[in-house]
Amino acid sequence: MSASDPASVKAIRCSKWYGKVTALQDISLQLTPGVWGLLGPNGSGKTTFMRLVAGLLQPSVGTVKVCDEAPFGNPNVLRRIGLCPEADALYEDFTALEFVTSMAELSGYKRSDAKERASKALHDFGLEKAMERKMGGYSRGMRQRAKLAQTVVHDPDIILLDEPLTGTDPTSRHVILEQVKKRADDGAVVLFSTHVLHEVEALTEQVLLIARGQLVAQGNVHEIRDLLSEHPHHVRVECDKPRELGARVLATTPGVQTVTFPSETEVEFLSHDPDATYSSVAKQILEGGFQVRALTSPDATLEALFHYLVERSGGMAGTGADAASGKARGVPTPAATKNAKGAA
Amino acid sequence: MSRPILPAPSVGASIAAVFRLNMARMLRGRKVRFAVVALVLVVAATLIARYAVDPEDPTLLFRDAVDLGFFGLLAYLIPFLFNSGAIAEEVETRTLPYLLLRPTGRVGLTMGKYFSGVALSFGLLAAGMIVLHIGVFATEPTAMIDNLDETARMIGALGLLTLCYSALCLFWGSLITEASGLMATLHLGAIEFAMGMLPWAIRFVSMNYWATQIAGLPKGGFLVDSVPDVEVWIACVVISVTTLVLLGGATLVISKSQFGFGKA
Repeated sequence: MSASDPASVKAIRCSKWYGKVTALQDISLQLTPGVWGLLGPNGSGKTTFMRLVAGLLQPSVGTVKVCDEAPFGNPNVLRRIGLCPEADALYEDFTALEFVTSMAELSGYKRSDAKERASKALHDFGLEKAMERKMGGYSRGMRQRAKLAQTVVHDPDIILLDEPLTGTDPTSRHVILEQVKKRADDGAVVLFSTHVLHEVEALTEQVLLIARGQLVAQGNVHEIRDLLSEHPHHVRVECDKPRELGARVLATTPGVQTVTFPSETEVEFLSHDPDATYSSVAKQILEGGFQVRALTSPDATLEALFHYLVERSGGMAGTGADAASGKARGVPTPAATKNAKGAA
Repeated sequence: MSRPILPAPSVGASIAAVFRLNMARMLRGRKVRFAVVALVLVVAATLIARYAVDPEDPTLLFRDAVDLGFFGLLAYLIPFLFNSGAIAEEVETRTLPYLLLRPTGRVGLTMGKYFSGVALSFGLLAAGMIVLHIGVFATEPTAMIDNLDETARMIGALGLLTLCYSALCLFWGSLITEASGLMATLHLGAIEFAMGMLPWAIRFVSMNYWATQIAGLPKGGFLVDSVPDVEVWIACVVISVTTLVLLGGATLVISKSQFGFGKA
């Protein structure tokens, strides 16, 4: 056993493309020990970034360094990395114990040590009763936990989790989140990708937002929440008298910018003050006795926020040297970056 | 903050770990059953011919069975089964990241896969040859002992050919993962089988032909008399060099490839 350098992940002006398709564009960042949420809609480049860090891919331009070394095909770095892939793929004919033991052996442990470590890892993720069963018969949550056990069986200090909570039940989710926190507290860099904001909120305040292959913001999760409230919202109401409701809300709510009528039974408000708009709409519905069939906000989601940030930044948000220096140009408020601990 | 870490495993330990894992996977798969069935059919057909028809010269029958059944069929089929999908199937089932992420390294991965495929293929072929030998000469103990050296030579030639075909299948399986089986089949069918029948020195491109000469089997195919005779040691060198080239190619491809991970 030997002492190692501190765990770190660094990307410097890193881009990755496949033919004409750009998967990642000019990403610069540095991650230090702790949990980092990697947020982005499907297809935004989260998985590509994870694979670059894991050494499965090489950047087309720029560099990725893990513990100050390039990870691609580098056993010294790979020893320190654990990846839980997004794909629901396992060796179906193997038991979880056999699978995780094999992974520990491939990491350099002797068979007896490997089995002991595998058993402990599976126990940590609550699979002790099922670890002698073939994984082909596992539920989705159990499969996720088996994948996570192989991720940590060799005690890596860079842990990459690609949507690890997909398909898990509340019990599995609790177990997984506890283990992730524990590993981060022990000094590991944990990069946790998801497109669901509240999954990250349960784990960390440090988040990276990625959209269309660009790092559009990095900062505190609560400020991301604030951004969700601040960016223009569409509030759509399906009711019996949409024009009358539209007139009433427009007359009484200063934050409403425009009113449109997508159909005969719908009215849609664009507002810079969604909280006030929701209150006003509710009040007018009650006072006017409207028959409401639906009230929705099509863009109160992370995806809408990502699009908003990309549009605001003219497609160059928060990337390159600015991101590396802690300035995320896509974030409209300075506060959104002040806690970006990962700044270089 | 610094954490103690285990050093990356040595190349030998890496190969051994991959070997064990791959062997366990192959032994549980359907391919091994298919290979055993093919082997049993060849051996059973020969034994039926031996005892139902009762040929005058069992030695000749044995040679024909080895020539047609082993060199003409099983030597292609069995290494193909265990090596053409060694990397391609991991890509297809999306389990390759589990292996590439480990500090065994890509050379360790390639060699571990290769040697496990070779071991299982050769184990089955050699076992089949031994069973065939015992079965054919069961009623003639003297012939059984007299023919031992010839059978051992055939097993040796088969082993060399297995090394070569395993490397060939692994090479195509890692180079073109989307069509690994097709490419290996085309190579085995067009170059190894068909060209091994052609006259003059054209058949020298076929490793199967070289291996049959090492085994001491008679030349087959077209215009046999036009094919130059070659020393056994030259045949051994040709197969060995070809094997090393193919294995080196497979190692290079696996070491450098990103296996379309970004497209998944």
